[in-house]
Amino acid sequence: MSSRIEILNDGGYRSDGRRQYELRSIDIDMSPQGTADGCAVVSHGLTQVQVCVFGPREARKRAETLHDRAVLNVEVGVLPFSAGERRRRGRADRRILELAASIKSTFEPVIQTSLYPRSQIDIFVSVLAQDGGLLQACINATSVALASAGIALGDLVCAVSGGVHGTFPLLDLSALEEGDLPNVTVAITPRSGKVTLVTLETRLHVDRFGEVFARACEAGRVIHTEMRRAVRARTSKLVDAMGAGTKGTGEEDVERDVLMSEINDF
Amino acid sequence: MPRPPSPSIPEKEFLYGSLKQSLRLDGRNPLEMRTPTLTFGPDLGWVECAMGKTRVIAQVEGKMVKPPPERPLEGLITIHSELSPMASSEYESIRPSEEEVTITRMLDKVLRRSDVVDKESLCVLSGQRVWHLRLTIHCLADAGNMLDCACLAGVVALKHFRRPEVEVVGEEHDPSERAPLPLSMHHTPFCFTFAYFPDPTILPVLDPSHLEQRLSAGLMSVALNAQRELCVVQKAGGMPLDQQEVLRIVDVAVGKAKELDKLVETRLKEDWAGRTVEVR
Amino acid sequence: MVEITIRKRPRTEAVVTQRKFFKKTARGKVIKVLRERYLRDDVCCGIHSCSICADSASSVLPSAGSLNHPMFPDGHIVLPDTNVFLAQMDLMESNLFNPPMILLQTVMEEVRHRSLPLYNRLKALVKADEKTVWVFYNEYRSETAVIREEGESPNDRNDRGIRKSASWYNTHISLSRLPVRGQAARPLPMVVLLTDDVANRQKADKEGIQCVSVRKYVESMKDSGKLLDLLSTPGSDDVEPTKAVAARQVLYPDYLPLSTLLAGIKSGHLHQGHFNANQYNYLEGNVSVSGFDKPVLLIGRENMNRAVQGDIVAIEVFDESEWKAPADEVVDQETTLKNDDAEESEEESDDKKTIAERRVLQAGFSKPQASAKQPTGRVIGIIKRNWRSYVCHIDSSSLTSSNATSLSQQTVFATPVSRLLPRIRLRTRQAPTLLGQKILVTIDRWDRTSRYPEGHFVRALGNVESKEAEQESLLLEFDVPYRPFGKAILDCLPSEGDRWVVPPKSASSPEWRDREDLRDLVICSIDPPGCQDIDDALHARPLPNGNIEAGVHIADVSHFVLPDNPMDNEAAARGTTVYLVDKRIDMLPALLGTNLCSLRPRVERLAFSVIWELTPDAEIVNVRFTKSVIASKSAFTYEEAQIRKDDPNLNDDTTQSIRLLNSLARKLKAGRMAAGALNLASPEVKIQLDSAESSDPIDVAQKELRETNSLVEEFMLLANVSVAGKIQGAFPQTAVLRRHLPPPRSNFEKLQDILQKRKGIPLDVSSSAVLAASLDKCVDPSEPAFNTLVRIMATRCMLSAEYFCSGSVARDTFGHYGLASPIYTHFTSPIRRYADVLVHRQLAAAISYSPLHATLHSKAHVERVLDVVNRRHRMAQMAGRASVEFYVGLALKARGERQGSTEEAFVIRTFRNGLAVYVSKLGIEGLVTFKREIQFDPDAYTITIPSSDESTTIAVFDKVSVKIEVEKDKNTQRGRVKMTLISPVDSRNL
Repeated sequence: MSSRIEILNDGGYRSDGRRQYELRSIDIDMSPQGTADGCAVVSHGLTQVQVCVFGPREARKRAETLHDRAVLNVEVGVLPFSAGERRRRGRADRRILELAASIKSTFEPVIQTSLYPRSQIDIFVSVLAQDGGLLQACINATSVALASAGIALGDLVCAVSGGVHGTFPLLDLSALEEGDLPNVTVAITPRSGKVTLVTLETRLHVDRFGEVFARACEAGRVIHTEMRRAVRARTSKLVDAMGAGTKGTGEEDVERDVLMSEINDF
Repeated sequence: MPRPPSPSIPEKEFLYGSLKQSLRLDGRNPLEMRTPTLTFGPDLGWVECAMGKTRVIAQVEGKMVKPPPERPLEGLITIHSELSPMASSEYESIRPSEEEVTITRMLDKVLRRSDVVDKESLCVLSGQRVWHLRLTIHCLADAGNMLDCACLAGVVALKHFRRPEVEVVGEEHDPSERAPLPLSMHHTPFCFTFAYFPDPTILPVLDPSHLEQRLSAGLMSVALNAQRELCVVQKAGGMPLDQQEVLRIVDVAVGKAKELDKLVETRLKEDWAGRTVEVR
Repeated sequence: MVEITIRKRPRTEAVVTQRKFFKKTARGKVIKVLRERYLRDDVCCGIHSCSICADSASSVLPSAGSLNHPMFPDGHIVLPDTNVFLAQMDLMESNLFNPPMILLQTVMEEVRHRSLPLYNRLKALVKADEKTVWVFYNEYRSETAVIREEGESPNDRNDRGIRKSASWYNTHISLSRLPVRGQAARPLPMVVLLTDDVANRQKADKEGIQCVSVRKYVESMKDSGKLLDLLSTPGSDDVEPTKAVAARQVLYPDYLPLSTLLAGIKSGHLHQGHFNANQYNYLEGNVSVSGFDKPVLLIGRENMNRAVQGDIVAIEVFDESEWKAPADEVVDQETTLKNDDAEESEEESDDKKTIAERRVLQAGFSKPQASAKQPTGRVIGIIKRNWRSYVCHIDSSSLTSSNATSLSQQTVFATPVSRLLPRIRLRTRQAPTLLGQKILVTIDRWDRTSRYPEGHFVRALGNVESKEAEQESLLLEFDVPYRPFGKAILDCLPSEGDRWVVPPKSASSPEWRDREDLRDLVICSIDPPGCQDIDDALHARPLPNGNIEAGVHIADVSHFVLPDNPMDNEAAARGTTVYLVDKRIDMLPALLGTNLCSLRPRVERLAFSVIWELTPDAEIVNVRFTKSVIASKSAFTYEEAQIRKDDPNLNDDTTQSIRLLNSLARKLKAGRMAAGALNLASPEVKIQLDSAESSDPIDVAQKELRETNSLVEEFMLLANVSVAGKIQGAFPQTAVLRRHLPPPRSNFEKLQDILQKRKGIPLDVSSSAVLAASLDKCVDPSEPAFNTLVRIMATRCMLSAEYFCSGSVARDTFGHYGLASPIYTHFTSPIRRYADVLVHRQLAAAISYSPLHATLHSKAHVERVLDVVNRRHRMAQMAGRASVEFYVGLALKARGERQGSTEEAFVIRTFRNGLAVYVSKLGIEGLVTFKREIQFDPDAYTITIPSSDESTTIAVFDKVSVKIEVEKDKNTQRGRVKMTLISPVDSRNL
């Protein structure tokens, strides 16, 4: 069946009606969940990931604390019904462990851990629905959730996947495209413009890699704009809810944030 | 179980200090790798690979099995990696540590998922008989950069291996008294690991030693073949790098892959010349 | 730089944008698949200078539409639905049919789903210059996207989508051209739905969409006459909608259980035999069974019932009233089934194929049956499959995606190089990279529900036309074992290696036990130039009593190859040495073949000698066999020996010996001919290689035959006959012999008929002697090559010679028909033929030199070994021939470059739509086919090509000239020799 679908047709459309460089609809929901300190549900098209952040708080195991910074603990769960085929993945599944390790090492240098010595930050990721771009959704959701928890971040981390069809780079792949194309996931820290994560797991010629890599980095900035808008909308809503007295300062904050990011971005 | 003690402050400062001047403790250039030594065992598909003090044994064996129903046309390849505490105190025997997960996943990606062996050619009779290749990777000692060493050992073992020829006659099949066949391989990927350091002025080093690895702020592994095809690029977090820097590292790896490919081919040829094909 | 944007999808749109369906996996699990799509407003309508669509620069449709159709004076654009493309592709492709056309995405996808080859034609159509086709992505435009409703079939949904797009277009046109005040409203062009589906038309009428059937549309076109011919007539006006894929149609009858088959064969109402496919017609095959003179004909897929070339099948023979004659048309699988689809999920297209095939079959039988009928039957079971790996090419048109980065598994067709095999369906992930390569494919199974056998990819051999790939593919195709010898085999060689010599003569030496010392005899060998494996040498000397002693000395291979060790087993499995043009695949390791066993000059070698005492008239007085040690005095080529013999100045011992041998040989030959031996011609050509390294052929020439060739041949025959008698006497149950059965008379019927009708020459085939005489009379004074041609054709009527075990067949069938000898075997080339090794062992036992190995006492064992050897022998011959053919092809290419070369050829067979010709100069056979209708008279063996001024008739045996080109098949990359007629008529335009 799947081989009957054209990845990129002659009219320049992908199988879901997008063009080469169009990302899927992104949806960021930061409403609080339970007792978590920070929360985010991020969906890219039909891929949906929920992240809850707890902490910084006292570590469960004393022995694992570090005297000079916080310890990061990432756990990933994939819901059995998230993909088309119902399948339960154990916690010790190496792919899931690897996903958790990637998230952990991506955020370790971004979180200002030295501000929270002898404490622990827990990040729980649960994958609600999968349609390609799992890693990118996990990273983006974690980014937003950490921000909503008020944890000091050096930067947001924005991830996008990309693939190559023949010689044409495509961005933000759906599961169908992921199955058929060599694909790359790139995460950038938009303020510094640096790359913090690159993964490529399928064969791809070096010459093709450069192009899709560069495109994915650009797309990271687009995601960043979207993320910032969501974070700001959420913040101003909170500020509004806190009462009229502080309203003025709240707006000022927003202004300053825009200013800062503009200086840093370009 | 207590974690191994981290390197002492003077050690750390000395290393950073010398790296700043582009000097490495073992006298290598930043982008120079330890020349691997390959030793072939008496059996086909048995290889010991050593890079400095890091040593790995890889061994391939094949047997015929019934394929799983969803893939009746393809042979099977499984990779078993044995990382015991013998190699390094970082590996625990009970629970897989993060390093271990990374290494096994990388081996899986480089040697299996990148389609090194043509699995379709391992099919003898579809749905009935396929070859099941079992690649065992034994880590003997870890003196840094175990991953590259293990990947190299694995790939060379696959190249060295010969499977008995099986002839399908009508609906039967029988191993015949023929010279064994090499595996049909799509390409030969090599893995290169670069370490970079907290100080952005220190350039990344290729093939980090144990100490360099411990003190690095992140690793980036690139697996590719001599035909300039990337198989795996893995930079999972760590210190953020410039876009240009990533591409530069990939470029360096391209050059190194060609050199390593030549070395491996020569060694295999030497070994093959001194061997008479054994027929069962 | 292209902008990177996010396609926003409002949540409320989810109903339209998400699609959920269930899919069954290979394992049989059902999984849910959820896909989304993004609807947009910027999908361009494609009409030139449209005021609404922003990006109209690339638009192709004229703004006024086409004004040429009388039905639509205000201009129109056609919008065909899917069935139009499925059924009327020929019309759509016609140059005369070019109204502006809107091709909907829905239509494209449906065509793609039904048939990939049709889809590829459709894609070519879109790109064609003379067509104005705009592809409208209606599924992505928010106004025209439709979703399947509850209880709606996919087909209905698509039809609804097509109608929706058609009405959208009409509104869109009117919106984009709002009447300007003050100006008269211009008539608007109309988008016309073109469909043959009655129900769809009714619905469209109800919705107020202009629609018309294809026939009606074409009929009212200005030059409808030519186009109406292209219109295909489907069974009814409307095409069946797609049925559910769930139940797969059973295409072939089931096989009966083996026990029933065996019982049936025993009782005689079923028959067993090897299935042979017809290389000219893929819908026909035959099986030779013992019960009938003529092979039993199997016509059509159902009757061949999944048998593949070489399978042992059980067949049932129909009543005589249903017997048919073989079809007389060339039916090429690739052209008949070019629109066939590898994935095969729809049965509907299957039905069409069956219809197409049936049409082909019926065409063959519509005429009165003048030529004789053959027993006809059907396969009802398979006794034993003989499937192996086949060399194939990937059929490029069956690929869904030729994108090299694609990782998905595709189902494609692999076309075997051999024309005798059906296409094989193959699932592979590497299809794009395998295009243009020779690959090895194994057949796995052939289910009742599957039109084609299913197989899997084994490995790639290399690019088509590279010498290595071609060579390897030849070896594989003919199943020649060519791997290097393993260590266990090499361990069986003498440990001294190439330093091995015959030890000095002594009583204790095992080599010298019971061996005659013939080192002083003047022995020489005569072989083709460059021969390294010299396995025979000769001598002759006058005896004091006036008789002549002549000896044939054969390399004593059985001294080195001991029974039942790894080397012996390997040699038995290989059966024979295979000679290709540029490679020799040895049966025995080279150390033996070209050194220790090779009777090289001036070296002492072990031999097995046959020594006769002959009268000067070549009557055998006495013969003896002995193991010996010889030292050949010299090794000649045929040419050198000939020169030496003819040079009156030379009178040395060797020359004398050659002359003596020659005089005897002439008498022996005369005697043989008198007894009725046949002088048959087999076309042998020689490839002249440029140099050893490059092995580029520079030319092709016929092989030359000299008197000395015949000298060697006569003595070898004599030795073989003498040995055959000896071992048959000693081991009546297990002697390894060779026989050539007389051909059944019916084999000659056709040739006799052709000769009688075309040339008025009778051919008497009642015995080999009579046939030989009769063949001599087949001469056409004006055409010297005619006799050779008849001999070649006569050879083809005969059976092939075979090895057999003397205890297995009746004594009266031992004879060798071609050599007219009552008994025969192979003794003289043990280096390159395994049967000779067995004969050596039996002869050694017969003269009590050594005991006979236990295996050679077992009839079953000997039979089994000889079965293999017979098969290998046949295969080796075919491989050799194919190798020559490949080089002839290369030589032709080199010689003719682009324009090809023109050669004289003889017609050897006529078909309803073509000719088979034989080019004697190159020794190749080819097929000339005509696309245009020709008249065919099967009784007179002629075809008549009508033409405006004068029609030309060509008959079998006519000399024609053909242009020979090597062309590459577009789909399969198979290089093939293409012949076209140059004279008497030029067939290029036919």
